[in-house]
Amino acid sequence: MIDPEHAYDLEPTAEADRGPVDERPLWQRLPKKVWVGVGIVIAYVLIALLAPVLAPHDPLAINPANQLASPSGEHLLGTDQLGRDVFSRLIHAARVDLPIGFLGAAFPMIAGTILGALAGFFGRWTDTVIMRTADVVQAFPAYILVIVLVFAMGQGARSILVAFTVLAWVVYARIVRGEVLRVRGLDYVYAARVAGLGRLRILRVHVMPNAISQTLIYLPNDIVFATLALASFSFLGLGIPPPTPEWGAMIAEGQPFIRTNWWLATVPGLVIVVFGLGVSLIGEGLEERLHR
Amino acid sequence: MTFLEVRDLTVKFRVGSALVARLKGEPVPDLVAVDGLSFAVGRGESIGIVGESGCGKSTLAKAITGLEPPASGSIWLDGRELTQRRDRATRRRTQMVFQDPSSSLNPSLTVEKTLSELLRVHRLVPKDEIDDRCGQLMDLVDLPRALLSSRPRSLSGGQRQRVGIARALALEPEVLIADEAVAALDVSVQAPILNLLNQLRDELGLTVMFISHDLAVVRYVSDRVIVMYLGKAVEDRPAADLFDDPRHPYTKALMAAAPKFGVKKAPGESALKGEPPSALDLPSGCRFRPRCPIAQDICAEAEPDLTGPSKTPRAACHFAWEGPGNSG
Amino acid sequence: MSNRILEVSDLSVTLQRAGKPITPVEGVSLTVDRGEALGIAGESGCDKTLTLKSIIGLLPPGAVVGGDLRFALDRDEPVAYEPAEVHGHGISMISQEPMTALNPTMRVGDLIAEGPMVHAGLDRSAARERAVELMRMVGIPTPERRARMWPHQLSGGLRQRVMIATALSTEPKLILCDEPTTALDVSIQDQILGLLQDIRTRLDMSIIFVSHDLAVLGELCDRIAIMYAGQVVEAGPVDELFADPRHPYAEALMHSVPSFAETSEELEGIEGRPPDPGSFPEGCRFAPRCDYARDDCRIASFELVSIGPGRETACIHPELIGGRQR
Repeated sequence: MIDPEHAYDLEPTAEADRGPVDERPLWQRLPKKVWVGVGIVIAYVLIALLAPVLAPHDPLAINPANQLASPSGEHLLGTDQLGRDVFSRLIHAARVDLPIGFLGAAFPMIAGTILGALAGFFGRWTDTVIMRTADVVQAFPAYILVIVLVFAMGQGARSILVAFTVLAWVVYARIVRGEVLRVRGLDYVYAARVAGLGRLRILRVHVMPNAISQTLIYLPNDIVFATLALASFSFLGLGIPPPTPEWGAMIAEGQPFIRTNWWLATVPGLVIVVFGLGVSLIGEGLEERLHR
Repeated sequence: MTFLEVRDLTVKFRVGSALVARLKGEPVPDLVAVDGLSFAVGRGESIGIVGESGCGKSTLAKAITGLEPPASGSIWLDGRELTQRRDRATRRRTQMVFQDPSSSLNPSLTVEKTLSELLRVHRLVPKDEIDDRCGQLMDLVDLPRALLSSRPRSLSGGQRQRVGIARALALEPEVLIADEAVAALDVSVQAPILNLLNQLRDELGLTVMFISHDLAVVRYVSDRVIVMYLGKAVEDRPAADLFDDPRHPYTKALMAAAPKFGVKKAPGESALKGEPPSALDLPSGCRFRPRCPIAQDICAEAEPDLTGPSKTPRAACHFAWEGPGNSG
Repeated sequence: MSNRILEVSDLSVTLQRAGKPITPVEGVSLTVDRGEALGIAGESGCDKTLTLKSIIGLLPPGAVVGGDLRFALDRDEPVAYEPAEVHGHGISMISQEPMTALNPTMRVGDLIAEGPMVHAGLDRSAARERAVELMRMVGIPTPERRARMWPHQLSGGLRQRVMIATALSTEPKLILCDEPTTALDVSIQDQILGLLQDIRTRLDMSIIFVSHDLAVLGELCDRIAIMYAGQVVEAGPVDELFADPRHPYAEALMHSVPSFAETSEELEGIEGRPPDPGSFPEGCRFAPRCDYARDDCRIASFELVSIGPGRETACIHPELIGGRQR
C-alpha cells in the first residue's frame, strides 16, 4: 500500500512495544557521531596543549621583511601583515579560543543552573527575585553590556568571561527552573517527602539529576556560541587585545587582504567551523539519547 | 480500637489571586478539595476510599501523609495528633504507594539505591546489614534480588509497582496508603499486586487505605468502604453491606453505572445524569442534589450529615435509612 | 444480500522500528455484520490500535499491510477498498484521548461541521445546523451555545460526545472505537456507552470497540475477539466466551478480573510478560506463559479454527482448559 522506501519509524508508546531495553551505561549507548565529535574536540585540545611544540615559529615574532608571504615550506600558511607565521599563530590561538569557549559556557551554566534550581525548588520570593533579575538581564542589549564591562575592566580574557557569565546564565536558569518545576511534581519526589527526607537531599538526589539533562543537551551548543561570540568581539576589537593570536582577531586582521591573501581570513574561520561541528555532534548525540 | 482518625478535615487549594478577590469584594477563590471529613479506622483494618475524579480522595491521602496541610480539622494516629511539622520518626509511620509506575521511581537511581537511601537516612539498620535488608524487601514483594542493580527503565510496570511497595515498606510503616496503585497496570498484572497487598496486610498487620475509582477492585481488598463525592463522605459501610445494600443515591447510581464482570448489565441505565458541578460553585444543601433521582425540597435547604443507626454504617442522605433499601 | 459489512482476512502490519522491520499484527481475521458490536479485547500493546488503523487506512507511512480488507461501502457485499474511499465516508473512528483528538484551535461546532462540508458538500450554514443537530443527538445540553465553545472549555465527557458527533457527521456504517471510555469517570463512561448503544440500535450502525476492560466489553458487545501478541487467539459470542473460554489466555484473563458474581474467588494473574513484537517466539506465542502448554504447542503454526457456531480458537489443545492444578 505504501512505499517502504519512505518508512518512518513507529514511535511505540506502549511499554510492551518498546523492544528490549538497552541496559548499558549511557556512554556505551551513544550514537557513533558523538565519538566523531569527541575525536575532533580532543584533537583541538591536544593541538592547543602542544602548540609550543608543534608551532614551527614564534607566533609573536614580527618580520617586516616578509609580510603577506604566500604559503611555502617555511610558512605553511604564509605570513600576515606583520610578517608573523600564520600557521603558528593559528595553533597558538587555540590556547586562547578553546579555554574561553569552554569556560565561557561552563561559568554561565554553573551560575544559571544554581540560580534556576533555587528559583524552581524554593519558589515564592526566591523565584520572583531571580526570575525578574533574569528578565532585566535579558532585556539589556548584550553588546552594550560587553562594551561597558570591557571599558571598566580592560580588554582581555577576564572581562570576556565575566561578560559571558553575566549575560548567558539566564538561558540555563530558565531551562533548569522549568525542569525542576516539572520534576518536583513527580511521584518519586512526593515519595521522598513522605519518607521524611530533607529538602536539600531531595534537591540533590532526586530533583537535580533528573533536571539537568536538558542543560547537558544545551551546553555543547553554548560552547559553540561562546567561541563564536569571542571571535565576533575580537573582530569588533572588543575581545582579546593584540598581539595575542585569536581566531576571531585573525579573521579581522585578514579581512583587508581577502582579495590577495584570502586564506588569512578564511582559514581561521574554517577552523572555528570545524570545532563547532565537533561540539555540535556531541550535543546532537546526547540529545538523541537523553531526550526522553 | 481507633488507630487512625480524621476529624473534620478540610483541605483547600488557592485557585486565584487572593488580592484581586479582596479588591473586588468577592470571597477568596479557594477550591475545597476535602470538606469536613471525619472517620476512624481500627488498627489492621483495610479501608477503601471510592470516588470519581475531583472527589478529594487523593488530597485526603496527601493530607494524611503530610504532603498537604489541612486548612482546618485534624488527623490522629494512635492517639496523637499528626501536625504539619512531623519529625522523621513520625513520617515513617504513614507511607504511600503511587499510581503511575513511570513516575513513581527516580529514574537515575537503581532499585538498591532507592531502598537503601531510606534505610540509611532513617538509620533503621546498621550499615553492614543494609544489603541484607534490601534483599529481604525484594523477597517481601516477590521480586528477584538480581533486580536490585536495575534502573526503573529496565523494569516492567508491575515490577516498578512492586518496587514502589517495597520502598513504602522499607520504613516499616503502620499505615499504608495505596493511591490507585493498580490503575495503570494491565489486568493480568493487577491481580498479583492486589493479592500481594492483601497478603502483606495480613502478615505485617498494616492498616491499609486503598484509594480507587474501580468498585470491583476496592471490593476485593477492603473490609470497609467510604464513598466520597465532591470532598465529602457520602457513605461509610462495611464492604459487603455497601455492595449488597447501598443507601446513598450516589452510591446506588455509581453501582448501577459500573460495568460488572460476571453480571449482565445494559449500558446507560444508571440514573446518574449530567456531570458533577465545579467544586468552586457548589449547589446549596446536599451537593448531590442536582443529579439525584430522589431529590426533594429539603435537599436544597439542608446539607445532610453522615449519620446512621450506629457509628458505622453511615450515609449522608436525608432518606438513606428510610425503607428496606435495595440491592445495588 | 448478506448482512456482513466488514471482512478482515489474515491481516498483517509490518513497520520499521529503529531500522528493523517488526510485524506487530499478524494473521488477524474478523468479521462484522450490520448493526453488530464487535469487541476486541487485549492488554497493553499497539496491536489492537494498528488493527483499527488498518481498517480505516490510517497507518503511519512506511507501514506494509498484508492480507485482505473488504468493506460494504456502497454495495451490499464487502469489497476491497482504498483508504481514501472510506475517509469521511463509511467508516469513522473515535479514540481515547479527547484532549488531543480535538483540534484546540477550532470551535467545537466547526469541528463537527467540517465532515459534512467536505464530504457531503453542505454549505457552511447547513453544515452548522447539522452539527447542532448531531450535538443534540449525542446528548450535549444547550448545543447551540456549546457549538461556539472551544474544546478546552468542555469536560472530558462532553469532549468525548463531541468526538462521537464528529464521527457520526459523515453517516458512517461502521464506527471504530479505540478505548474511548478509558480516561472517563465511571458515571460518564456509562453515559457514553449508553449513547453508543442507542446510536447503534437507532441508526443500525456497526461498532468495533477496543478495550482492555472486559466488563465494558461484556456490556456493549455482541461478539468479542481476544488478541494476544498481535494475533486473534479466540473469538465468539461474548457471554459464551466469558462463561467458557477456549483459549488459555482468555481463561487467564477471566480469572484476573474481579467479578461481581463470584466474590470469594481469589484473583490470579499471569506470570511473565507479553513477548516483544521484535522477538515473537516460535509456535504458539502464549506457550511460554501457558499453564497447559505441551511440546507440540511450541512448534505449532498459528491457525484460528472454528469450534462451534461463531466460535473460534487458536489453541491446539482447547480440551485441556479448565483442568489446571493451581
